[in-house]
Amino acid sequence: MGALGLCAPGELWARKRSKSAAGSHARKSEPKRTAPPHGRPGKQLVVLLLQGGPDGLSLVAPTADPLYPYLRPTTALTAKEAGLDMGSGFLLHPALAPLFPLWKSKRLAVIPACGLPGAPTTHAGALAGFAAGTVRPGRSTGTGWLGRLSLALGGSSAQMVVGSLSPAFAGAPHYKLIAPGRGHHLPPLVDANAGLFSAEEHLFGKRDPLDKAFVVGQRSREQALRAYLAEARQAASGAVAAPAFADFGERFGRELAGRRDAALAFTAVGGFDTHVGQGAATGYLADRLRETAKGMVGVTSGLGRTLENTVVVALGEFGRRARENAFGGTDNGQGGVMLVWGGPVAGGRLLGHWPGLAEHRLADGRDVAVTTDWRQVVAEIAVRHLGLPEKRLDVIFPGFTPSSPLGVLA
Amino acid sequence: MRARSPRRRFLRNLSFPTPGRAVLAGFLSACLLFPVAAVGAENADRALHVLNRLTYGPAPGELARVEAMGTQAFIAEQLEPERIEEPAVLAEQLAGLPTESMNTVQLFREFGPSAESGTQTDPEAMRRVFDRAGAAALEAARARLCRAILSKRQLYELMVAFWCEHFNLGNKRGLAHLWAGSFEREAIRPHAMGRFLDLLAATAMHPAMLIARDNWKNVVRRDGSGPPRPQIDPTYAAIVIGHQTLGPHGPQKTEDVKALARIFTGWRVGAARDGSGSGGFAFDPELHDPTDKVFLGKTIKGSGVAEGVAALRILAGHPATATAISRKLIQYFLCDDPPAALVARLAKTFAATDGNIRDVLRTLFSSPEFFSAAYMGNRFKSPLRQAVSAVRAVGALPVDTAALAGALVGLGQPLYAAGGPEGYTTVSSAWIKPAGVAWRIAFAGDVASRRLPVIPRGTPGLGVPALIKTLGPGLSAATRAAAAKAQGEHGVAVLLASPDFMRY
Repeated sequence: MGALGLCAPGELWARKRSKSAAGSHARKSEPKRTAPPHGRPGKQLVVLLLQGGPDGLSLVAPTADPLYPYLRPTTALTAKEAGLDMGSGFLLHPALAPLFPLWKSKRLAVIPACGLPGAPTTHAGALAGFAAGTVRPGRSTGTGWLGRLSLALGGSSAQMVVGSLSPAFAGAPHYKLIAPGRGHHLPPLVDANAGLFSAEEHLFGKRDPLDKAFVVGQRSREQALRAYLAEARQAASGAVAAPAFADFGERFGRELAGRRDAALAFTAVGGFDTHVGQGAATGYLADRLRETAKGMVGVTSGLGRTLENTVVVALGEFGRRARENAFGGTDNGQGGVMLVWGGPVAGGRLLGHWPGLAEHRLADGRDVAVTTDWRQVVAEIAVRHLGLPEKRLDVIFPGFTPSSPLGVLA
Repeated sequence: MRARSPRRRFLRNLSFPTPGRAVLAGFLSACLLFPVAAVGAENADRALHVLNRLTYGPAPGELARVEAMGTQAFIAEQLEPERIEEPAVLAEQLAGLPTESMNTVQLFREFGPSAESGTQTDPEAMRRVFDRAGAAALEAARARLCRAILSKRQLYELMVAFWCEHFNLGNKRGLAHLWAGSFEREAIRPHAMGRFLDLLAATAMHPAMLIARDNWKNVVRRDGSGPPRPQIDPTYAAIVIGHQTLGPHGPQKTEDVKALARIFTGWRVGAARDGSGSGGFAFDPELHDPTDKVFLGKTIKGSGVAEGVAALRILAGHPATATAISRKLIQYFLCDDPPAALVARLAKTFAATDGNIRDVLRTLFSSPEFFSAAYMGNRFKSPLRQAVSAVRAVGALPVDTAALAGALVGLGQPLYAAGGPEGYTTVSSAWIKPAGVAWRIAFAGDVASRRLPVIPRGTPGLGVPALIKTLGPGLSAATRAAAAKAQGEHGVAVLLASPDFMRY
């Protein structure tokens, strides 16, 4: 199919900038053109946005915590599953088995309870916050953090390779879009109990309080289900569907291997908004994880030896709620999981601080708390791997103050 | 009320003045007008009714057992739980819950703030206590579910659940939460079918109740010089009078609540000074109001902790208490709207036996009202009963009581989390809510398909014919037909999600 994008590399954004009414904003970013570009040639950061917000408690399951099966009656993994024992009572989901060798060879680090502090729990709001690199949109000047980082590293000649379009790299001077082409579509979420409700309709009468409660309950449930299905479909829009990413990953990786002049790469992978029928060790989420892991390993093998000079990060716009919902699924939450792998990564470890699942430890009493800001991880990679001067971090992430280093790189 | 059998429709059409004559007439008519099989059907109805009322729901083989031994023998058996042997599997399951064998003092030493090497005022240390309290309360919930499902002392388990709500600790987290299980084991279980005064006193002196209802804060401060400064907290006194004994419509006045609060000053949590094991209750005379009090028209002379004991005796022996408790028991076991005559009869037994719960229950189960057709099969299960009866009906060893406890949250009745002074309601119709009904149906589907990992694969009772046999007349012909029409495990789900199975 080839690697041609839907538009000429970079042109779309450059044209838009000069035509935009916010011309002053375009000029504000001009000074960067005159500043000498930073960055080390050959070093690359690949960002995979897992759109929809994958469930951290399933990817990195706290199987040793007695509260876990209590919060997740139908979606909890048990310690006996064929996952990977990561230590500290955590199990890496069995569907992520293709990634196990990266963990064992200490190239994959995992950060649970990771997110953007204060991010809204709507997809639109969280995706906007992710793209801007801040929850205060006014401060980001209409560009995305990857766009700003691209400019800071490579100036006007900075290159990027992307697999899907996103405001996260708005402002990047040049990018090459590699479309995945026709791939598999995202299957819809399925309510396993829908048939049972239909079967019960004939048994409930019409008159008594119980019958009336059934009718109202069934109707509310159908409404909620429709809303969830629509939301999940919408949450994946613009991203490469996970089933398509399974095969696309290797092609993307090979492109990245050949384009060492591109310091940054980005792809969104969709299908993680599992509001209904999430499943546990097997099921809808497990299928999406299997496909995504295949794609991730594809990227890794496509990179080949250039993996030594590449760091890949994968994260969602948020995580999910601690307690599952009425449909065997999970709702939008806060703290999620971030995966970081590559040659320079100090892997085989869980990083950051696990807040725990007791009610008083949950954010707003219902979500896994965010204890690691994902920008901290990216900041360390940008500075130590890509060569960004530390004082430039404030341009990339306005208002972000780096905290003590996590030590994600060796 | 839906009639489930020709016999019941026939009885409804008779018009006799008293329930006793109706039962007699019904029986005679049944013998005359219906073949012998109808008597068998009636036995099955009565057996099912007694299982529905005295247990959490029929388990495989129980219907046949009760039909064979007769309902009277079964009632007598359940009224003497101490003679019933528990299955070994129950002890095995409970062995997996370490906090279940720790008493209040041990729990405090192991998990309380003093277990930290840091100071007690460190907020992170208290947060860690709350973490452990949550884990301990979850073990208590799992133990309660294990017993509800597996114990042969079913009536006793129903009484434990009743008293845990009646003496509810509220949903404050913290030390009271850490002791949710030990409170049940130490204060409630020993007296659940014993004497009401013993139960009342045990709960009043338990550290969990002292903390949960702030009675430990109820003190009179003396600083040496200067007058004593009362810091009276009447929270617990109000709850004891208005909810645990006389009830909200009793004869108490505001002064009585104040007097009781002063009586209870100095009731504290701590180790007894003489080192004796008092389960964590410590009376501190320095913090007690030593004056005489007038409580419910009686004078109680200042005598330290004995004042509280005397007050509790007055409350337990009060006719209003007998009526309130009797009414609540009828509501719990029989119907949402207890008939006044039955309440009076139970109250009379209560008074005559010095508050013996077992005797009051005997009066209830031997009353003509108890087997009245008007009260059969028309109550709506609480979420706890819905969940437990489903697992019992399938005859399963629960695999994951944590998942079952979690399912109860969605169903609307998380254990040890009810706010309010009286815990979860005894009025069955209060549970009929659209969201709750929808959750039950989803729950049934998840249990039958093992998406909810409560029941092990290959459990013999997990099949439509087995369930039909276990539940007997509890399932109407329409429900059985619908289950037969569905295929495989879906048939089980259809049964467990049916309106018949939501009623008892």
